[in-house]
Amino acid sequence: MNYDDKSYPLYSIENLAQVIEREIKKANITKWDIYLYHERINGIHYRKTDIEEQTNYCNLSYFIRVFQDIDANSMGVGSINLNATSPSQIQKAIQQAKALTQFNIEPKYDLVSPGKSYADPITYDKNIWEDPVSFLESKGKEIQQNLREIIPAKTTSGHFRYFRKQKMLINSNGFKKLKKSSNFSYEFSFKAEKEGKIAEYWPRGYVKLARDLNFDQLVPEWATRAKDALNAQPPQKNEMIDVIFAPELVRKGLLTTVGYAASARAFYEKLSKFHCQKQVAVNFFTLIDDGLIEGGLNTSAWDSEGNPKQRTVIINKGIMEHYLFDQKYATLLNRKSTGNAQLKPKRGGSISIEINNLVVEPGKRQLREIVEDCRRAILVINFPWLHPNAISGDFGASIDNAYMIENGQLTTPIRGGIISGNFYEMLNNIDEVSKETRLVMNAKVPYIKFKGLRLSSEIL
Amino acid sequence: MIHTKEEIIAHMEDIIHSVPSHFYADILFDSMAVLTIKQSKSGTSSNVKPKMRGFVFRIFNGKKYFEISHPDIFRLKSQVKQILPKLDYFPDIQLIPSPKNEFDKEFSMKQDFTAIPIQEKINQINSLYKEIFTQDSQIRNVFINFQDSIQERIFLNTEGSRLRQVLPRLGIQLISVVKSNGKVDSNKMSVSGQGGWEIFNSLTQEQIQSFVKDSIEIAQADLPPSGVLPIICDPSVAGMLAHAIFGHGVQADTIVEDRSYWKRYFNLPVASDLVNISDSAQTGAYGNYYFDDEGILNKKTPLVENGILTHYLHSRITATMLDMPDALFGNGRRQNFLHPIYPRNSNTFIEPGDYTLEEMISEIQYGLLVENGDYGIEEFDGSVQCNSISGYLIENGELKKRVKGVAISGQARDLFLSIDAVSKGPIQFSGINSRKGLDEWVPVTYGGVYIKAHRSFVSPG
Repeated sequence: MNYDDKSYPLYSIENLAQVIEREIKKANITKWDIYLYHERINGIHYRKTDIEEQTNYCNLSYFIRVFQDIDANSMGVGSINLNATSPSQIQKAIQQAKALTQFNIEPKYDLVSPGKSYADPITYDKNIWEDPVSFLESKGKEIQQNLREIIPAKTTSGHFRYFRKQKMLINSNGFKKLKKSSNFSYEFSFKAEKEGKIAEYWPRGYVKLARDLNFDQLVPEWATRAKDALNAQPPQKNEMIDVIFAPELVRKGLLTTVGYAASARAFYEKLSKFHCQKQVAVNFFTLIDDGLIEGGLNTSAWDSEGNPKQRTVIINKGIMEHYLFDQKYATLLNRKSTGNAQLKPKRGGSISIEINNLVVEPGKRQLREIVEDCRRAILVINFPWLHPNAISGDFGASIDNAYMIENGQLTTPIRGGIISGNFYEMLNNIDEVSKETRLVMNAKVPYIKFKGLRLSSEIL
Repeated sequence: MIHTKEEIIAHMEDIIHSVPSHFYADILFDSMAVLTIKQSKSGTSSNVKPKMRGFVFRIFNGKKYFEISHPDIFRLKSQVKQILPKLDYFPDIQLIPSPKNEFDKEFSMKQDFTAIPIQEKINQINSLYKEIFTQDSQIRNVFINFQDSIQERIFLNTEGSRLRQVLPRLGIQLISVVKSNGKVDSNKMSVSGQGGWEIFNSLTQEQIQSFVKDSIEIAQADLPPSGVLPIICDPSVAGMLAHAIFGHGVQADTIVEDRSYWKRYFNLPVASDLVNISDSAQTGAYGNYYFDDEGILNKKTPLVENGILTHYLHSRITATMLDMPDALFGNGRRQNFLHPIYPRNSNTFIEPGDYTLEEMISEIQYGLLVENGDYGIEEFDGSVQCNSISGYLIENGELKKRVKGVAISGQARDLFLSIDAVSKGPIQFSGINSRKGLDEWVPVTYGGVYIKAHRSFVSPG
């Protein structure tokens, strides 16, 4: 199913930007910015291996921010988010934003000006952008074929979507930039069944570029995990044990904890566990934010405030080196933005500081070699829900998919039991980091072996 | 630009009337107005979404659905015109019939929050912020996340249904950060519901004092023991378990897909016979609505009756596929016009029993009272993980010391079969936005009363 979107050239981000800018000027506002967001989503949804639904969604929305100086150091900020296109409604929204400047008082900072230099990373597949439906249909058939060929487990449901996004930022300093980006989302479930026992593996995530959609490799791997889960046993006893986290878990855990502690906001509010130039991790651990890494989900030239994205070393050989800044906290702390402002329309529209893409520098040995040196440990592939407390670092997560390591060998598949610990303490208890890394959405991270976490068993 | 509901409906009717008669089709107008206010040590920030609106058209060709959405009805009309001639009809699946409904209702607020100036709302949130801070010097930060919203949905379909609902919601979440004796930790509480400013005003002085006291105790608390113990779950934890296990686990798409663990237990025991669990969008709580996004008027769904799993949560296609026409109670929900419909829960809760909390505590020699549910997830092998912020150790029938971060996990059916007491009401609800997989956020609540289970796997978490 496709339709001719080109019939409506007027419904474009550029034209809407002109209309809004004209209305802002009519309102005599001197300091403002407009962030426009055009999103088109094509999707295929599967029931078992059959297509049950095809979707084609579109929205063009925008944020208008107006700023009113209060005194030498502070200003009022009014922020409005809508998708109306009529000049009268836009003007009404501008007046609402203007009124809000009386209540939201922030430190005074300048908006980005033209003339900065920007990288030009690959952010979308040009050949797919123009005709995503054909790509989805052909890739969908390939996925269906992969799914049908699965021997050890069968698929029960799934979806495959393609997001095309255009974002434009313009402001009262004459800054104007448009960027295009795209990504895929996938979600499949695999079920294995034997003698009344069932097990599932449920991979899901986002991929930036088509070249990383390696379903021919991934689908058999996922199916095998479902099959192994079928033979899994709960852990046999309570113990303190070394735990190797798979890259997906390294990403989740570190984004929540280090992502918070490294933000200038946490530093400003005196809630960060990290202090600059202090040791926060073992001396062979280096963690970087890289907004330009190839294939990273959040890779793009500039952040939501128009500042260039960059590579920032957060932890260098265990030492806390740099916090991440947006314009507001850079001003409050007399620093420069690191290009980490993220405006997320789904989160109420406020700007937050977030890691763009998390990178952990690889170690020297392969996972296989690390495993071979373990006398007793556990390799965890998946927790159903890893959700550490960003402030304290505490977490406890039940094991969905793991393997015992005994005398250098992967032995029993494990399911059940709980691993608990504290991520901030774990950074100082890293035993080893693997040489191989995996690109997982907005992270390129290795396997990490942590010493001495608590494994709780249900078996008495 | 179209403004009035009459204009909107007229354009939606044009689209519906353009559909050839052998196809089923529907169209939904989705509009959301939101005010967000955030307060912390870094100051106040607010964002207004005056109205984010769009239309989503859906057509069923006898095999599958096709959906297109756009914020502009004229462009959507054109797109529908383009795709209709390309669609073939297949007589493979006949959707179960749904009665033609006509309905137009706006939920009335006792205190209309749209009539309260933003400045006044910010002032009140600011006062609350200061009040929490001044309670104790060990409070290091307070995050307040406030949101009020008005969702309007208009639904038309080829069967003649014409429905409109306007739903105001309000939620406020408090997060405290405490440093006590060198330990830093956080605590959360929230108040939410369908309605107006009266929900904000329902936050009492006692609740705030108790929240601060709990926050300090949690920062000083030890981790809980791990092992298999008798536990009492407070209404938030009991409700979170019900939400995760039955609110999610019996969504009928997972039954159709042969994915759900619970399919094998349909009409069989899944809990002790003291347990009744229901889902209803008619409780007055945060997950309320009158009709779902397929135009089905919501009715209360008894999920578990006297311990027996008796119903699934359906969308129209799942009720069709499973041939359960009498079990379609209005649970087909979409996040907004950019997301598809799935069978979803609304307000999922454990119905009251006849025990008191004191009686429950007195019956435990060594166990835990688990409280302040934080999050929960059900796995497709029937296991569950539910994490709470805090709890109490129970020894010799008495509450003893406070513990923090309790994780409950293991086989959900075993846990629910081991429930040996359910407390009297009232049912307490907690509102959240709940997702399905990667996305698909919808407002729901989890709720209930105290439950006691004599065998549960707990550990730090």
